[in-house]
Amino acid sequence: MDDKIILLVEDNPDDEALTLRALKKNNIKNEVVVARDGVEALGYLFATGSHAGRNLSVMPQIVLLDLKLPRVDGFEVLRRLRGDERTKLLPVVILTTSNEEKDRINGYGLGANSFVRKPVEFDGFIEAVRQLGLYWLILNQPAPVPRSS
Amino acid sequence: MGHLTFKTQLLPAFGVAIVILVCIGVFSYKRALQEDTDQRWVAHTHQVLEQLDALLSSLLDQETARRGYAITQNPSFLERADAGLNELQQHLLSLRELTSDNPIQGGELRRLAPLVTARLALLTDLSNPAERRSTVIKGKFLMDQIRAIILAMKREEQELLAKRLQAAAASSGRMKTILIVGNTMSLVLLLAAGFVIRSETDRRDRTQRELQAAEERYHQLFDRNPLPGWVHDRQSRSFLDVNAAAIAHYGYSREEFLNLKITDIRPTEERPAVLESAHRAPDRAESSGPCKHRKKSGEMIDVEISSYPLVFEGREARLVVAIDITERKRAEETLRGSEERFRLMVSTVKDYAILMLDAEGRVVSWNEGAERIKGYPAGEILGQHFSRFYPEEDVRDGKPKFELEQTIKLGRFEDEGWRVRKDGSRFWANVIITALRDETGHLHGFAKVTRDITERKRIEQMHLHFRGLFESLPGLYLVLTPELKIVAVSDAYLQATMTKRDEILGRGIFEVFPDNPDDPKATGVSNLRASLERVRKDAATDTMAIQKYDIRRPDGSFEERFWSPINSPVFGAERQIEYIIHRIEDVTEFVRQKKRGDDGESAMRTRMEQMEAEIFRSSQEVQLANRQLRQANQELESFSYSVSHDLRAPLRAIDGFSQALLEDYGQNLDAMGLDYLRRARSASQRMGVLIDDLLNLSRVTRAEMRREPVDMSRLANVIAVELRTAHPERQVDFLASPGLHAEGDSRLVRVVLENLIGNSWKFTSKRERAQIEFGALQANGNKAFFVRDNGAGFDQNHADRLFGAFQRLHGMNEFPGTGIGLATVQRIIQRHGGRVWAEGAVEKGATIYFTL
Repeated sequence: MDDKIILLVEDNPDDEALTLRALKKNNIKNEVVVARDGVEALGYLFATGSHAGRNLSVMPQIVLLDLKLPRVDGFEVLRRLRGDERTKLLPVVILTTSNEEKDRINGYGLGANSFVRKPVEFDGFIEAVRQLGLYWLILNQPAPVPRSS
Repeated sequence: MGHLTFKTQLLPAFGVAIVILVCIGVFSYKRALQEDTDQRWVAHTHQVLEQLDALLSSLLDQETARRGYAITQNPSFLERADAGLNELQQHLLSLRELTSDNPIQGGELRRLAPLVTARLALLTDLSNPAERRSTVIKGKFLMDQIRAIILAMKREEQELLAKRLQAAAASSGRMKTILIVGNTMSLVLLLAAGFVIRSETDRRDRTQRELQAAEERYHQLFDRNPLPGWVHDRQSRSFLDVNAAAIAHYGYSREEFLNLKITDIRPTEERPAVLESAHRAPDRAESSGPCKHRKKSGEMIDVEISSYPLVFEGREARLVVAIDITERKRAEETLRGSEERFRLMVSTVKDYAILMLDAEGRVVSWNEGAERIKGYPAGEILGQHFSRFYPEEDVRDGKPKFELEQTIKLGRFEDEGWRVRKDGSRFWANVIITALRDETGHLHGFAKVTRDITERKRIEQMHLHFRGLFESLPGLYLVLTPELKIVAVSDAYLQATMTKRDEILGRGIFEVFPDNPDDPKATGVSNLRASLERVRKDAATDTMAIQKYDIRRPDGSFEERFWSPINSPVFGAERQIEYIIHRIEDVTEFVRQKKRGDDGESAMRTRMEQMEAEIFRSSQEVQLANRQLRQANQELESFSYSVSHDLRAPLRAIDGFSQALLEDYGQNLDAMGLDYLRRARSASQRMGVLIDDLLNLSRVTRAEMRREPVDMSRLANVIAVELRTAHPERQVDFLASPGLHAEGDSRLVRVVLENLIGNSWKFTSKRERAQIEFGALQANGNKAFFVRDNGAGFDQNHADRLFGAFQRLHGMNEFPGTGIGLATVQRIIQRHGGRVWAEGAVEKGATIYFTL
């Protein structure tokens, strides 16, 4: 299980703590890498900035992506990720508070695999995280990680 | 001499010779048999003679012995006599046997036998001496008789012998003749046959030599033939020989070829046909094709085949020569294709009369278009002179002749003018005549293409008229293309804007009318551009507010002007925008008066002008309000976006951490502490719902609306089913009148019914038997739908407060809710241009009506 990394892109520390708690509550013990803005997320995925030198053959099993992010927003992260050979097949779940139609259209248009709205009540949130973990970490078979040169 | 001689002459010759030899054999055999018989007969004669002599001798011995006894009485004589008597009897018997076949000798013998007996008897009597003398005399007499008979018999026998010998000699002579003649004939025949065979063999040798020479020549011709060729077995179709050209052309080596069959170089789909044709391959030369062959490289070629029967190494075979016609065929096809296309094109062209004239101007070809335009069927016009298409006066003036002369001189001649149809009517034609010359430059004739452009001519004329009309209009009009290029302008417009037609036609409107560079607040270009943009986008007329748009004088300085512009689209056949008409009114004078007349409306000369001034002011206000509204809408949009995102996040934190606190530290709290936490959670959750409802409300306001038919009864039933599913514990009688329809935005109407029926569902929760009804009635001539229930109801005095946001007439503990539902309903109904109202009484149920 150690190779199945979850990349959580979330700027709100409350939401980060709640997400980690929800994962723990659901016995999801995978390594969670937290990126607190779009730049950091991209840095992790492409081994730049603070993540320079990271082994690129290790890619997250799933990216949980918030949309409203400082510096580079979630849509831009998604666009860059889909535009790169190394990450274009990576499963990305948009996990956001918003329920705007245009966000959903935008998200799917840019190639998100799923769009999940974070419910306000925590029980619902735990259930959502449970189902996400079950589906993306266990059921879903991702595309192989391309060999990085 | 030929084969015929061999067969018809040699075989009978051999036949005759064989027959002769067989006959000779038969004769010889028969002769040998005859000789054998003759020999036996000679021996027989000698036996008879011998026995006759022996008989006589024995008789004489008896005489001697008897006589001896009689004289001497010596018994030894008697003994001798008795012994001799037997011998004598024996000889008689032999003679009888030997002569049994001969009646003459038989008769003699029968005479002899008694005489012998009598003589023997006398000899016995000799012992009586008394009678001896007479006995001797008698005996001598008998003996003479016996001797005579024996002699006669001997003579007879010898005569027979002589006769037989003579016959044998004669037969042997014939035999000799036959042998000589027969053998001679056979010899002659065999010699003749031998000669024939010899000459036949010679002939064959000669033929063989000729054949070898021919084969030599064949190989020369075959191997050095520049055309690919081969020999194949007629039955098995295997290649037996193949020439150098075939090897070079098909790419197979000789060895590869000899391992192939004819079918191997044919495409798969043609193989059955090849097999079939082999069965009926005639024993004579034949040509076939074109057919397809496959080279070793896989390339397909088209070939024509000539094949000849021949015997090759003792096998029935065919010599084949293949001519590759791929290139030729391709060229032919291309040519045929282009000729055919060209012919088809020309003949089916309907809009152009395309005809050929010979060098003298007579029609030699005629197409469909020519028939349609000029009215003559081909049969009627071919061979006629083309001058008949011209009006009489043109013919008199020698125009047809002139046109041909010009064509000959220039190669091509184009003309527009009147031409005459078969029925005498005239049409305006565009005519192009081209001279047709061969390579040597010799004139063959002319190609003439005529188009009936009467209609176009008419339209052109009409356009001219209309342009004149348009330009003379008293109003100020400009016609623009969708790209905003000026294509027409009225004289009044030119005058008002101090421009000249030929200076502005074809140019962009903003190039001709730029903003006044000295006026930093000039909005003319941007406002006009926005208006024209709206016309293009909405395909609808756009009226602009009164606009300051300064005009450049011919000297380059600008003059302050105010305009009231209106822009309208002109549609083409496909409903696309073809032109935009830009109409303006010069209101400069009026605006100036208005500005000057701040001190008194009395400056306004007419009531009309006052009204126009009002309109100007309010239109300016509307423009401003619109801009503010757009801005407000944008702000609202970004506001609700941050509400949906930013307000909910802290709520989730409150709820989430309260939950965490409950779970992880719940045991450290007393009942009251736990209750507080639960309240915090439920409050935050309620606020989440509140935010969602508020967002819905604002979304309902902003959402684009589309009117479409909505099946209201069905929609109501669907919502009721959903509510039943969500609240299976509730007992609700729901009744929707069938067949109710409305026009509206189906998504928004659904929100209305969800809220209304949902409310009824909620407010009847305290009823044992909840009743909810959806129906419609006529109210003030409009169809009003209603949702009625027997729930908690409300105080009619507060009915107007029902539809305000956050207005609740019941305590939260009684019935939960945000108080936004009916506000949302009202917003939607208002957007539909309808009305919503409520009737009810406390604990007596409520009815909400609405129209769409």
